[in-house]
Amino acid sequence: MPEQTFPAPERRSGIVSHYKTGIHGAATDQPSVTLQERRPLAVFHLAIRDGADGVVKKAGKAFGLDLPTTASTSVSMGGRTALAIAPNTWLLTNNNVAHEADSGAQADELAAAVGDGGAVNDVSQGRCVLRVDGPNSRDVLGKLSPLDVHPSAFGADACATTQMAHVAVTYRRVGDGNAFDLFVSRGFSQHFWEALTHAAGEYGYQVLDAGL
Amino acid sequence: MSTQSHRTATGGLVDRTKPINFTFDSQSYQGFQGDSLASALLANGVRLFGRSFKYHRPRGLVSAGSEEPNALMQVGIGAYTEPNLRAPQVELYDGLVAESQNRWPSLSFDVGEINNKMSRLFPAGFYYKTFMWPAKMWMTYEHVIRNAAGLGRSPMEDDPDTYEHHHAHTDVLVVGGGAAGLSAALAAGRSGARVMLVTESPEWGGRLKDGATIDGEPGLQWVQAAIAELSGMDNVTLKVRTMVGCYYDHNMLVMLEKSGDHLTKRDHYTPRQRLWQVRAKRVVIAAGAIERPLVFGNNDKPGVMLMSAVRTYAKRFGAKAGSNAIVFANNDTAYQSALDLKDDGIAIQAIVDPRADGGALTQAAIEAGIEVLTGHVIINAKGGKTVTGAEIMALNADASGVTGEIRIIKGDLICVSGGWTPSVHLHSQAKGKTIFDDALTTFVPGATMQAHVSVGACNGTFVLSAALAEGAKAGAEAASKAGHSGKAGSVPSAEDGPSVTPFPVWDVPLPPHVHLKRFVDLQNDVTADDVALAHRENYLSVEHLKRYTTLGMGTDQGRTSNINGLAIMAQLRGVAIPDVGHTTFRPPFQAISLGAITGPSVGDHFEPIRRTGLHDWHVKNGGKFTTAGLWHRADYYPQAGENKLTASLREAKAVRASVGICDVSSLGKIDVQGPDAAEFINRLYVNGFAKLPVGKARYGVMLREDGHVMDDGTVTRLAENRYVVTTTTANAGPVMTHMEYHSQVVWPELDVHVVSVTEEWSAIAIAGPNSRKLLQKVVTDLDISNEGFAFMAYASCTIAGVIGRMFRISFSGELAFEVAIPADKAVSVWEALMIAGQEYNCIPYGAEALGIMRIEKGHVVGGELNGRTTATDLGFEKMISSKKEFIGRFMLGREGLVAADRMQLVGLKPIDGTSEVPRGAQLVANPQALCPVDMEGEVTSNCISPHVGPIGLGILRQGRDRHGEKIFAHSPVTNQTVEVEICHPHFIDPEGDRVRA
Repeated sequence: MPEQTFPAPERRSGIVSHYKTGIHGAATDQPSVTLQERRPLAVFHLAIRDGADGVVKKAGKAFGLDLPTTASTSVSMGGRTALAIAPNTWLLTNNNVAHEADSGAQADELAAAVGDGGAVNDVSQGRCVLRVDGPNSRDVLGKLSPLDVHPSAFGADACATTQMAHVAVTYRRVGDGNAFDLFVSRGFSQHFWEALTHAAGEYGYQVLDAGL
Repeated sequence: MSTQSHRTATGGLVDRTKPINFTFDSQSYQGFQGDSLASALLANGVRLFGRSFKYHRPRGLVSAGSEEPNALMQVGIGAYTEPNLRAPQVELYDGLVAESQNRWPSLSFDVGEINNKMSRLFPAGFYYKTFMWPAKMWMTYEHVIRNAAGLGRSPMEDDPDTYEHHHAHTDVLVVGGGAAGLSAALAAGRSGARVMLVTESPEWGGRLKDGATIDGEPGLQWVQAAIAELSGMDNVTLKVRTMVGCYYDHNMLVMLEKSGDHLTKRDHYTPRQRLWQVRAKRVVIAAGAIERPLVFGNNDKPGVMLMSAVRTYAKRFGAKAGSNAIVFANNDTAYQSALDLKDDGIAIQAIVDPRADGGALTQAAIEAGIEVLTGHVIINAKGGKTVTGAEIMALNADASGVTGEIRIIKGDLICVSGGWTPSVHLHSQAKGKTIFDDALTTFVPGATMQAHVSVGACNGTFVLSAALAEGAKAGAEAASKAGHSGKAGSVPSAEDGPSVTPFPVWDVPLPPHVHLKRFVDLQNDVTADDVALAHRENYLSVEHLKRYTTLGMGTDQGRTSNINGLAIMAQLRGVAIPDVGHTTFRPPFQAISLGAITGPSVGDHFEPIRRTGLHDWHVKNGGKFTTAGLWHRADYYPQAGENKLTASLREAKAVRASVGICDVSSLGKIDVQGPDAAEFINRLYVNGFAKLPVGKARYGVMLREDGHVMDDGTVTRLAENRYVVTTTTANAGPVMTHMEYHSQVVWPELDVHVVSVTEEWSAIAIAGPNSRKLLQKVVTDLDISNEGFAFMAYASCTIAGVIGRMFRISFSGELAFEVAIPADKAVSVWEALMIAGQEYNCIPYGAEALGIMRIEKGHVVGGELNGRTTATDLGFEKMISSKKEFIGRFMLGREGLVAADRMQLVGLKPIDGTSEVPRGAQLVANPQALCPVDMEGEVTSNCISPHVGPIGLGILRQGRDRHGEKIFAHSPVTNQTVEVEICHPHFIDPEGDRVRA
């Protein structure tokens, strides 16, 4: 086999060509919405056979977090987050995985822990994760999400999947503050980014450097 | 610039320090901040606001609200123009340009007025009668009629404004910002519930703005205090300029917020309008009531106005509708207004009251020096383009006719009040019942079907103190039912106003042999005689009456006319009003612009665009796109001077000659895992998968339950219990749904998980005789020689430094590979492939060239997988396993699906060798035959092949046995006819040597 060397491959976000850091939108003294693409972030899709409680425990141990078992809730600790997105189904994210090789290794660890009791898929590059924060974050979401995001209806760490701007979005309230993390399919990420920045426009928004 | 000749000396809520310039029919005027277009024009002495719909009669302002039937305006210029806006609802802004409608050449001289003179030719339903024959001319007649009776014009330009959509959730939605609504919001808000209070006005207070006393203070002081308190509550949202238009099931309401219409200039971040979808646990409707006009001779003349409107213009806007008013009223409310208007410089010439003894305020009016004519009616409004006086006669004892001499009283304004009609629209939209209130002589809300309650005037509660109390009670109850039971606070006291109970004179009688037009519906020019005509022609149902006469249609939906119209109908039929009933109230309460309904889903956001990980590369390198579902796929990459055809021909040729790469990321990819994954896959496809070894891919065909082909694609066994399935781009979603349904519902016993991984992996096809050589330069850890990596092999490997998946599969019929790369690094790998391929003249090729090559190779896609074809039709009969169960197996044997004359896949070549096989053409033996022609088949795909010339694929009756025969491909769409030869569908390498090279 020929010896070949290649420049280090570059990871490209689906919205990189439209992601402009800085202050945008209506002229305001202080932008009341901040937007940030959360990356690099490892994202795993985990499905476990119905009733396999032992597997749920094992998967949690391998991931480093007890998995929530109540639908539409999430738990977060030490940069690891687990969202219960459907019966026996979780979306797991990990801030501590800088390279996809590491993310692959963690997917393998999880898969080993789950064994035949479920299925693990590394979907880190198939999801675009966007954080919406600031005093007007709920107003921005209110334009896009038909679900109620008022704290009385969408408490700390609540999560849900719904349609926003005509595409499916899973989102999670980060703790009990104004911040929400939105998970959208990569193919729709530019469309959604445009819809999100449009929705934030009237409040004035700041796009932060992509990061964690 | 004209002066504001009709301003009151002082008073009103307008800001007299802030003049505002505007034009009406090209003439400049000045109004004040806080004016409506209607009030500003009134203040300038304008009386003529428009021309009527059918007879083009001069019309003036009638009302001060959404019930306005006459003063419809075209507002704004160019792309910003909007027709049919009700002048009382248009807020004045600097530079506003308004035009009257439905007149030519001008408002004061309108040629269409000839219709009035010829009105006997235009009775109700005239066009149904007149233009019946010949039937085919209706299209022409209709065009002329619509032109003659138009209402404004729509802009032809693209809408430059932005619109927003919002979703809101609340415990209590309070509709209406008047006394009852504010009282309800206060009680609910204090209880701790999430409250949304909305009013369609720019300011709060409803009719309290026209003068009232609460807790011994002016009503507006209470309003201000209430708003201050509500503003201070975190749990309360206040919205002005917001019209609740629609009350749908499950307490879902739609409201329109006119957030930017009142601004001279709107920037990109100031939406013109916002459409709100509100889900409310409880709704308190405090929508108020609308005053009814009276039906008498020439009651449509400019200067005949609702008493309450005259009051509103004077008290709220400081605009005088006239100087010398004659009041014609059948209830006490108008007396109160007449008394109150004396301070505003409007002299009351007389009050004409059909009640024989007058009412509670009659004596007060007399004491105030006003002449009161009890037991009298106005039979005729005198004047031309404005009222000059009224003809008055005495009513006889049973109110069936008029007697005595006609007395004429001069005046420039006739203020009418025929009672009050509660706005039951939202209540009725929510499927609430209505009941007839004999005292109010109108319908009031009855039993409700959804979680709402009506309070105040819209519930028939007109006494202010009672309305305040009713609102407070409803607000507290609504909050409590939504789970909030805080202290609702106290209810203010108020002076009780005059009684609203009317003495109905639905249709003022005329002296014998006097014929005057007495309008019921001003907007649609429907007179009492039209209602009588409809009755004579046996239209009994109120719904038929509406459609026959157009009574109650149009922008005002009969707000001022419905009750009068159906009361007249009831009189004629000799039945009670509730027995006639009313027409259905349908959403929206007022028109909602299409821009607001569309919201931000315009332009590139008309529907979502789905982009592959390589999208930006295609853009940068001149790729042109085509759509595949929501995906945008690179279609071709034109070089200088090339068009789609020449570019795609070059690309297809280059691939077969050497090598090219293609973005195939949009194909669906589904990960299937679990101990029963093998069994699951085996049941999905017609062909067997049980023996597929790990590291191998296999082509598969799946059927719907009804036995027709659903989709095709490859299945690759990644590990013992793990597969990845590819689908066509179009069917990725349906196949995923199909799999989920069967795993969850049909075979829950199978331990299997299906997850879409389409978005995780970008996919690149590397095709052409030099594809292996190219890949060998970038793949460092896998032997991809024919021996090491045979046709249909799979392995994980490193491609240009990126860990990905390598498949030896081919769609083009060439030696080919497909690599799957995690999407973030797809561009890096693609660029590495382009660099490595330079020595082989590697080119990127798009979906068009891919399509040419698959047609050359006879591969089926959407045109052939059209939902009507079976596996056998398409030549897959040998794949169908007889040893296992699979979806569609039983239906596959249906008589019709195994019939000998089914249409089968064939290739098609033009006999002349040069004509294109017409796209979508029908295959017929004789294109000259008279219809109906026997269609033997159809063209499903066509292209010009750079290798074999124009070709096509088709499905043809018994086609497989007819190779070599000739038939005609005829397209009735393009009227092309080409004689074609039926042939084998594989035009290139039918033996498949190349893919195995």
